[in-house]
Amino acid sequence: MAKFLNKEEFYKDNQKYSLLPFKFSDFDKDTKILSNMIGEFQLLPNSTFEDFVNNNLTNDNSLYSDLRDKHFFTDTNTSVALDLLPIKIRTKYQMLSNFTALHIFVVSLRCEHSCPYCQVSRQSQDKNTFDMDEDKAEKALNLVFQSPSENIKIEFQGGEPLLNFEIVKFIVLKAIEIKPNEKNLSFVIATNLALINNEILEFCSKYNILISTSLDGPKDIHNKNRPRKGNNSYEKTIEGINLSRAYLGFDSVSALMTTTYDSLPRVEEIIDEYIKNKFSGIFLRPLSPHGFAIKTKSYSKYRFNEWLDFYKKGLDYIINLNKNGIEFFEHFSQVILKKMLTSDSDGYVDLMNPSGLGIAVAVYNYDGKIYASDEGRMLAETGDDYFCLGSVEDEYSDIFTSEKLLNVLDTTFTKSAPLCADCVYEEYCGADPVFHYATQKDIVGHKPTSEFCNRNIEVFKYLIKLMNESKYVENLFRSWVR
Amino acid sequence: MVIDLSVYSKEVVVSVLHRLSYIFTGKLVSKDKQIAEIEFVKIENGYDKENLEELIVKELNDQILRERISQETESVRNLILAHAFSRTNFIKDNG
Repeated sequence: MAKFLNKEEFYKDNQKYSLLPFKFSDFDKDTKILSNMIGEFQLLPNSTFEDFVNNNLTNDNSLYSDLRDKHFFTDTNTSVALDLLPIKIRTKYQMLSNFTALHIFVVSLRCEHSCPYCQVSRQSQDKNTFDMDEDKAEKALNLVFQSPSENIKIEFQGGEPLLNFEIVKFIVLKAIEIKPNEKNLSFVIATNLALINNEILEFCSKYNILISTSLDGPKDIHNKNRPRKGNNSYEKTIEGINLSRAYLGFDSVSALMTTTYDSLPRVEEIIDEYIKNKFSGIFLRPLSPHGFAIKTKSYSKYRFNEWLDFYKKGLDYIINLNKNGIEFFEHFSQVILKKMLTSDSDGYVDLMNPSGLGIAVAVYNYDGKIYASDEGRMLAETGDDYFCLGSVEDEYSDIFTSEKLLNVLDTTFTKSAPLCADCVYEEYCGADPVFHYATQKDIVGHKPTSEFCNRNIEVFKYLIKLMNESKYVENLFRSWVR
Repeated sequence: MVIDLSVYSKEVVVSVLHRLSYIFTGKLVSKDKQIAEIEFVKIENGYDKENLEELIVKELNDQILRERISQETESVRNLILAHAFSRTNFIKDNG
C-alpha cells in the first residue's frame, strides 16, 4: 500500500480563485502579458489567458502556481498576497519620502568643447556673464538644505564646471559648513576632464568628490562628437580618467556615452572601449530632444527605431561577453530590470512616476533661476522657460510646493494619464513631462504617437523576451539588480 | 463602422479610438440611443478599413475585459492601497 495519495488526489477538488488587480496586453500574436500593481509579470498563451480570466484555470496547470506566486490571484490555500502586496507597494514608493535628493548646480555655461549634440547649449569660453557667483551659490545652498531628504547629493554641471572651479570650491566648503548634522552630503562633478589637474584632484580627494565624465566610444567617434581646439578630447578624457582614478580610487570615476548618428553602426566597438578602460558597465542612452541637439538637428538625424536596433545589438553583445566570462552590464536595462524584478527602483528621473521633476531633482542655474530638472533648464537655454520654478531669491515653499510644479506632477501621473492607466508596462515606465513637452508641446503627451512611449515599450518587451527565452539571461539580469 | 452601445459603452469605444489613434483618426457619431457609428476621418498608410474594423473589434473586446477585471478587483485594490499607505506619512492627518 502506497504511503502517499496519488498527485491527482490533491488536484481533484479544484478551488475557485479570486483575481487580484492586474493589466494585460498582447505580447505577440499567441501570447498575452499580464502585470500587477508591483510590476510582477507573467506571459500566458492566449488560451490559458482565456481560462484564467474566466476562472477556469485548474491547479494542475503549471502556470497556476506561477500566477499565484506572483500575486495575480488568491485561492483558499493562500491569501498571503493581501499582506505582501501592500508592503511591496510601500517599498516601491518609499523614494517619495526622500524628497529632492539630487541638487544640480550649473556653475558655468561656458565650455571649451563645441559638441554639436550638446543638450546644454554651451556658451563660448570667454563670457564671464555665464558663471555662477558666490551670492547666488550661497542662496541656492540655503534652499538645498531645506529639502526634507536625509541624503543630499550636489552635482556640479556646465558647460564645463571646471572652468569655474573657484565657485565649486566655495560651494563644497560652504555646504560642509552649513550642513545640518542629520544630513548625509555627497558631491559629484560632471566634467569632460580636459581641464583636470593635480590641484583640482587633491581638492576632490580631500572632500570625497566623485567624477562623472563622458566617453562616447573609440577615439574617432569621441573626437568627432566632441570637437575642441587640438582635436584631442579623447586623449584628454582617457588621461583624465586615469589621473582621477589614481587620486580618488578606481570606483570614484564613472562615464556616460551619448549615442549619435555616427555611433549607430558601431555599438560593439563602443562597448569594447568601455571594457578597455576597465568600466564595469555602459549606459546605451538615446539622445535627448533638448538644447543644441535640436538646434543643430543632431536629434532628428536618427529615428528612435535606429537607436532601438543599436540598443538591442549592444545588449546582445553584452550578454555574449558575460557568457564568455567578461562581467559587464548595461545601465538602462538595469534601471528597468530593477523595476521588473524587485520592489525597488533607483530613482532614474526619466522613468519615475510621479515624475521626478522637483521632487527627485532640482537645478540651480548659473543665473540664479531654478528648474525642475536638467532637461527643463536645457529647454530654457533654447528660449522656453516652461519648467522654471523660480529663483534663488524665492522662498523654499514657494518653489517646491508651487501650483505650477504640483500641476505638472498631478497632470502627468501615469496611473491616471490616458493610455498609461491601462498600459501593462506602466509600472516600469515614467511620466517624463519634459520629453513630451519638448516633442509634442504637451506635458502629458499623446501616448499612442509618443516616441518616449513607443521606445520604452519596445525595450520592456525585448528584456522580457530575452528572459523568457533563456534561463541564463534571466539569471544574468537578476544578478544586475542584486 | 456601426457600434452597438448596449454591448460596448461610449467610454470603451472612446478609449479604443484613443489607443488606436496612431493608425487612424475616428469620429464617434451617435445615431440613436443604442447605436453609434465610427467615421474614419484619416487612415495611416498600410491600413485599410477592413483590417481596421477587425482590429477595433479585438480592442473593444480587450477593453471590455479590462473594465470587467478592474470592476471585479476594485474593492481588493482599494484595500491593498489603503493598507500600503496607512503606515506612511504621505497623507497627513488634518483632523
